Amino acid sequence: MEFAILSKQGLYFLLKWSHFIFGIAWIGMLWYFNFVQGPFFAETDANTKTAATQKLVPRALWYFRWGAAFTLLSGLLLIGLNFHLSGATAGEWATGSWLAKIYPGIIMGIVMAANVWFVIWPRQKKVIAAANGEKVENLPVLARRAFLASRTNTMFSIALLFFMGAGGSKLPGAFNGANVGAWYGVIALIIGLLEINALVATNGITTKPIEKPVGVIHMGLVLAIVLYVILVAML
Amino acid sequence: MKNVLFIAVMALLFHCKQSTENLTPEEKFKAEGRSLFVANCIACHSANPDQDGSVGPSLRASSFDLLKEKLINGKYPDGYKGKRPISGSMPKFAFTDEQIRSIEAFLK
Repeated sequence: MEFAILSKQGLYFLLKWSHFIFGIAWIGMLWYFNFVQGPFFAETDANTKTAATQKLVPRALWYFRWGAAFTLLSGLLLIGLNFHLSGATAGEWATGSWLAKIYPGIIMGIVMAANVWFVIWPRQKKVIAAANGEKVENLPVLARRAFLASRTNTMFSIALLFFMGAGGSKLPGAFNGANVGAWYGVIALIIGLLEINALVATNGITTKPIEKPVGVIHMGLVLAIVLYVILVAML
Repeated sequence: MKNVLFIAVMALLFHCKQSTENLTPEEKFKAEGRSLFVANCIACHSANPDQDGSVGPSLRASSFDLLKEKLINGKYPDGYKGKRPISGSMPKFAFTDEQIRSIEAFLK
């Protein structure tokens, strides 16, 4: 009897498994906040909302933020182990199909985890504090920024899963590594601009499309399609 | 991050350009096979054909017939007993015969 799961390949498999589990905990909560809790809070009475913010939201946020942290950690370990097991030089590995195709997913995942820990969670702590009777300055501004970061994360999550699935040449189509450096730059630019919108914008034409859950879903699909078309054009 | 990757790409291109200049035609052909292999296969297989990769097995001495049938049709050739049963998880690749021959040369 040989437990191949104890090999390096087995470790890779176990990391993937944990990445899925933590990822589902995180993105499941993200979608709960955006598609279930938000609309519920919009129409429920003030007392119910306060009680939920005191007792329900902190529990959901615990799974949300730690899910994000461990999804990121297992993802970074997967990247490192993929490189190690590839047996290739850093340059070869960095221009190979695996990193090139999964790259948008990696960048969006890192940005999303940063949004959770540095934008959403610090502000949500203050929202919870306010529900518990503490005086909090600029609460609507803080809540609005957390909302836009959360909406942006939801949009990213849809496109992210497309590219997470595209790793390992699973996305049909030939791979041409000639433009891979430019591809990395273009993708970083697009995702960077969307993130700047999440961090800076408050209202207007750039926030309107992600204001409602259905709009976020549409924008997530549009983002996945746009990035895929760029991939086909460049790789 | 972007700059580091860009430098890595440039270093690789420069390295490839330099390292293939003084090769024999056979060595060049083998180097082409290696380039194709590292670009497309090392997500799952190891760039070292003697070692298992993150997902796929070692591929040393894979024949042209085996490579073609597996890459193009996703099957093993008739009568061939593989290292592992076909899982169906490996995607198909639209390589030309010439490209497959270069990969075969690299894996020898």
